[in-house]
Amino acid sequence: MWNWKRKEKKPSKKQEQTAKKSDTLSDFIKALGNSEDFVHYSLSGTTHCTVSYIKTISDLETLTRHVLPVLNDISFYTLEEMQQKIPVEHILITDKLDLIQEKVMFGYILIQLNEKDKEVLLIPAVSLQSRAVSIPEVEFSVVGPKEAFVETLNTNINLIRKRMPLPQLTVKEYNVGKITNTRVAVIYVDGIVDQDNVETVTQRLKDIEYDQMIDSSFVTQMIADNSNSPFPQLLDTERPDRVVSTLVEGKIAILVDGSPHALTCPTTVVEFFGASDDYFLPWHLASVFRLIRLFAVIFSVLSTPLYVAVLTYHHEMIPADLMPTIVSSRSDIPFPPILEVIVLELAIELLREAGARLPTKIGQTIGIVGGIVIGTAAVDAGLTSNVLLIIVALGALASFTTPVYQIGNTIRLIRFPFLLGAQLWGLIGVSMCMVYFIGHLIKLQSIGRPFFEPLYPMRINDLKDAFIRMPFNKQTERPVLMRTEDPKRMNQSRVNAKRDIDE
Amino acid sequence: MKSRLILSLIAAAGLLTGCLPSKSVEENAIVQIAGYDKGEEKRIQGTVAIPQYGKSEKKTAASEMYLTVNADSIKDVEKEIQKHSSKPISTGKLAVTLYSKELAEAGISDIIDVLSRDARLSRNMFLGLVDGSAKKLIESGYSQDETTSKHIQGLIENNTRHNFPDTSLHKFLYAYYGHGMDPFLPVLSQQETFVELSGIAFFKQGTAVATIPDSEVFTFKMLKENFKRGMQDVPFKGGTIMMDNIGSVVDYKMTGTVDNPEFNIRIKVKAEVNEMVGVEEKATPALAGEMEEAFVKYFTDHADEMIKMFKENDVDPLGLGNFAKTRKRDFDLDKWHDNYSELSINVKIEVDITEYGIFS
Repeated sequence: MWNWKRKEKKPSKKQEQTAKKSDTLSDFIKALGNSEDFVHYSLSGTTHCTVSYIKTISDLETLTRHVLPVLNDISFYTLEEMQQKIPVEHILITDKLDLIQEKVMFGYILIQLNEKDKEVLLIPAVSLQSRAVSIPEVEFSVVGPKEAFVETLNTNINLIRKRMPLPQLTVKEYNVGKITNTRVAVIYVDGIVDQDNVETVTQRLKDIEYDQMIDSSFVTQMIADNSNSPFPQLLDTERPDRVVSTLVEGKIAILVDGSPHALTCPTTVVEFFGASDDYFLPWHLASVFRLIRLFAVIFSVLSTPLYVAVLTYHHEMIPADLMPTIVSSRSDIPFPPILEVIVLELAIELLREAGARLPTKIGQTIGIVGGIVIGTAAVDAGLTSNVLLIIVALGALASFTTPVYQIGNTIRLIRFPFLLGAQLWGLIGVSMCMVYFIGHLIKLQSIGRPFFEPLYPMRINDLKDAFIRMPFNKQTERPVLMRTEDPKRMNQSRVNAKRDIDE
Repeated sequence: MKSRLILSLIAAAGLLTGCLPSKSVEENAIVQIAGYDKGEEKRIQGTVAIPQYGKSEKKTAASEMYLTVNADSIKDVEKEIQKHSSKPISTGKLAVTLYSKELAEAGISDIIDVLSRDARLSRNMFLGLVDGSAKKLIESGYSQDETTSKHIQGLIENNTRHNFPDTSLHKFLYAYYGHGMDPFLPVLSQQETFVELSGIAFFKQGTAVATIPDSEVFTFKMLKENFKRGMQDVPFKGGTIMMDNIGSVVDYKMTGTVDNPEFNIRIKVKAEVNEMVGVEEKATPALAGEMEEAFVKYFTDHADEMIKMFKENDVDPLGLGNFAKTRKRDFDLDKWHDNYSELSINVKIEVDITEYGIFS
């Protein structure tokens, strides 16, 4: 009976290398020869040599302007001579097959004196196609910088470096992904960052076992402390300014080539509710907007479960003045409150999915059609009540107020367990769900640091930039969470010095 | 293994306890007002009003359904009403419960007991006595756009902010079960087309033993609690003046021994006088001084008379016994009751007229 439990563990077959590795240089060239865009020919002019490159990723201008003229003018007999005469920087001479493979695949031009030679010359002629740096679309802000990361790692690092011309800004690169060999950069400020955190991040990055690394969100999921949690444990942002300010706080940024989003860690749950706008506004305004955002999130999660719980179990909680409105709008509806809510929530989710998949122009139309036409029609047809329509619409609106898109998705999802609890046990069910989620958040970690940090463990100092943002002159220390090597942001006494008399 | 066990426990909890019968709010008959009269042969006649909400969103005339049943007990009333209703009865939003004076004079201890045990009932509910028939009072509509329950709830709530002392089920039960204090309830009486609050009834162990009329309520509230609004007319020099209370503070002091205590009740009232009818003098500071004297005399006389009435009926709605009990170690409730009629209670009232209006 319990056989299914005792499944025999078969010794798994040694995982075969999915990509065949070439053993010799000629094998490598032969393998590349199968592709139409690989160019391989022998020069038989002044210099006898063979030139190979992949024309789709190599810069042909370098070849025709700087390499071929020199090769045709002077007769070379050794690679060293070529290295000296060809007017291109960083020309390599190597016989290491790994390096040759990596560089050729990256767009270098390979030159051999003789096809049988193991030693080759590698001329960098990389042609990088990339989108221009554009306005942030996910984390748009009215004031403040309007740059967003693009898909090229070098451009992204450039965007960070130019905001922080500091020799201590350290960039470490790793290749992750068995087949894609994606470049992943770990960036931190040496002297501020806690080396333990760096160790954790690099170790986890190196341990990633997967064949592809298409986007930074792959990294988020793979190096997360709890991969089964609905909460993202690394903050992703497309704003270089936000990355720089977190680096200065002592955090670590992870950039993935091909992804326009940077990841910062360790992070806390309150950071997901802070927008970069908060730092561009006076502190009182920013604090109020943060609190509004927090309220919106709580409202979004709890409004429909409370509706279900109150209407199903706790009639006493409905104010007497609201009773006629609710009862008369519900009286035509053939469903119990839970079905009514699920129908409407699903309709909103459908609209959102459809809107997200369609091009912007049609997406807007869908929003209007969905919101107005379907909404009123559903009420007229007696499928949902007016009161609920307002609550669901407000809840959906409120879930968009989170500045970080990833946490918005989480909020979208976690109201469904709350709904289930509300239907099963009323308000007790809602509070049980709440206890479960708060317990989960308390246990959660981001790169080994507590995720629920300014609240649990309680760190009064970090509360200065959590629910309210204190003015800059009050934030004299870097967050305790990061255990930075240099906790002081500035000299407190100089900040507080009064300079009201000119001497 | 462990996680599987926990998972199955959660699933069991969900599947086994999730079968609670539930009805959405519109599928319930929500009782908002209930009234009890004396029925035939020791039975109770219960009347409830259930608001009927229209299907359309237009809130036109409020309609109510009235159900009257004869039953042996309060819970039996609920059972009997269930027989008349197409929807399950929900008593959670009961806002007003009325008893006929006839019933209250015979004793409502059993009914009060039921109210104090039912966890569904709100402690903010208003209780009241009806001078006449509770059934008739509930069944006559008073306003086009308000249900009877809302009307009477509003009536009591509004008046407790003015002349009437604070009342609710909670306050009633506190005084009912407290040692050395007795509860009171507002009395409602039905006139031709309206209901009015016509006085206060005082209880002794769940039995209404005495009442005071509407005109004495202000004096009682002054003795009972601090308050900031309310009006009282007082005869003055052949006419009447209207006193507008803007702040009254009451303070109890106890001196003497446990066996022979003496109470000093000090009341400080700040007032405005804005209306004089039939007084042939001009309002001057000197006249204001005379008015103050008149007020003090009026209130002292009435308060003394009221306390005398309390002593005669052996009721203690002011809670003096409770006051003594909290201050004296060897307080004996039985002895207190024996001595209550000879208790010396001095009422001292100070009236300060701060304003008598601007005139040219």
